Amino acid sequence: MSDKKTTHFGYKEVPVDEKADRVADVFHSVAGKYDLMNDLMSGGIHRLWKRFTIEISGVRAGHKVLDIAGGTGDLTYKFSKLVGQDGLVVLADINESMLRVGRDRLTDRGVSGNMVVAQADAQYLPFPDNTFDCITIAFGLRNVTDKNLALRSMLRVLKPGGRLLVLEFSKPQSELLNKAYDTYSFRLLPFIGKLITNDSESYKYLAESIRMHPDQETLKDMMVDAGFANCEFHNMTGGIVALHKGTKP
Amino acid sequence: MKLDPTINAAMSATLEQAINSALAFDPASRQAIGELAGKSLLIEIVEPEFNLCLQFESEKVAVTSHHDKPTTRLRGNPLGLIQLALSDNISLSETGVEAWGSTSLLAELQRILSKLEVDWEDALSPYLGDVVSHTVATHIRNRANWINERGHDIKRLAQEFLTEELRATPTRSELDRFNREVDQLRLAADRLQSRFDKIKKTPPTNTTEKG
Repeated sequence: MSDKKTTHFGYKEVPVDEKADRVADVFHSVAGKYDLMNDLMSGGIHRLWKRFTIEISGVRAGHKVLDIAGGTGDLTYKFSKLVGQDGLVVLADINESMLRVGRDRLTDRGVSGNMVVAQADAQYLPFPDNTFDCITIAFGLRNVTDKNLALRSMLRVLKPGGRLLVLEFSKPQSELLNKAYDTYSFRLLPFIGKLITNDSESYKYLAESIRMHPDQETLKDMMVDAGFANCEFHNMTGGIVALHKGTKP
Repeated sequence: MKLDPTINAAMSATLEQAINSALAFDPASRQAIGELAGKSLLIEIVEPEFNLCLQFESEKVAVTSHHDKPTTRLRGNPLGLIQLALSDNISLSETGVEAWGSTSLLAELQRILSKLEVDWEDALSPYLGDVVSHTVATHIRNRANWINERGHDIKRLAQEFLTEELRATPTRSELDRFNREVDQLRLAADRLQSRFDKIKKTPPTNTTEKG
């Protein structure tokens, strides 16, 4: 019997060292049409979820912000306006394709001088201790192989008093919404994915990975265990998405 | 009942868009808003519970649903807050709205709001052309003035009818006196509560005589 450690990739169990490659394949496949798909899948509501995240971040001029799994740079764009020329925003993503799309898009929108791009693994962030005033990870944590390791890595690079914001799909708070959401994500979502990106498997993974992600209370406990203080969460759109906030003591 | 943050964010995004669109066509108000740069007004609305925070910048207003340290904080029900925003000379006590922080910001905002005058010609001309937009803008201004005047008339007549003819509602001076008396009663009740608490905390004195 093999004693090789496994983790989940959607509903499948895969060896730990394979998950990152499999997730990378998903995002290589969808990178080009990622924004269009986000708008289609959420009806544009993902912009409101991100807007609320920015409001809660408390980021202001001169701050250093790390946008992990920043993908196509939605949050980085807003943060770059808030931190001004004295601040810095690092757009980080493990996936080269996503990062390339994000970097090009931000350059096209005139963001420069206070933004850098880094290909980085959330579990092993390549930054010195106590560097950032705020770290955000939006719709990225569920794809990380070892979430506890990633949370500890984020805690390390945050300044004392700095905030971590985790925006992620979560568990709907009403049974009715849960059922409607299940039907939508397992029936309609792969169909839209097939139509737009010619890749229904990636969107099947999306739906499965959301169900496998820890619910609100579990993620909050994980943040407390990692060493964050004042941990709390805000349910959005009935709990379909939750924003978790924690502070480095 | 607390409003879902998604709806709150949608409302703040819509309000931000509306305010900045209006300011784009009113340079005087935009300049006046610019003088408030760095200040913020957090409005906490109860029933349903949600927040709107106006953050003033040099050229625009950012609207969010959250602020850690606002310059001024208002808390009240939607009706009282609308009453406060629309009336020129109204006090907080009349609306049931509570305020914390700098109240000079409120006076300044009320002044800017009363002088807001959108240049409709400028706003419409890219879509309708100069001649048509001038006609439409004149129509909008006349209509707005007419509605404003009729609004004042209706308010005055209704007030007179209710207070003088029907005697169904108290006059303004009677209401003010009543509000003052309620305030005094509240203060007296608070003082009584404090005394009561103090007496409760005082340990009972030992009255047993030594024999």
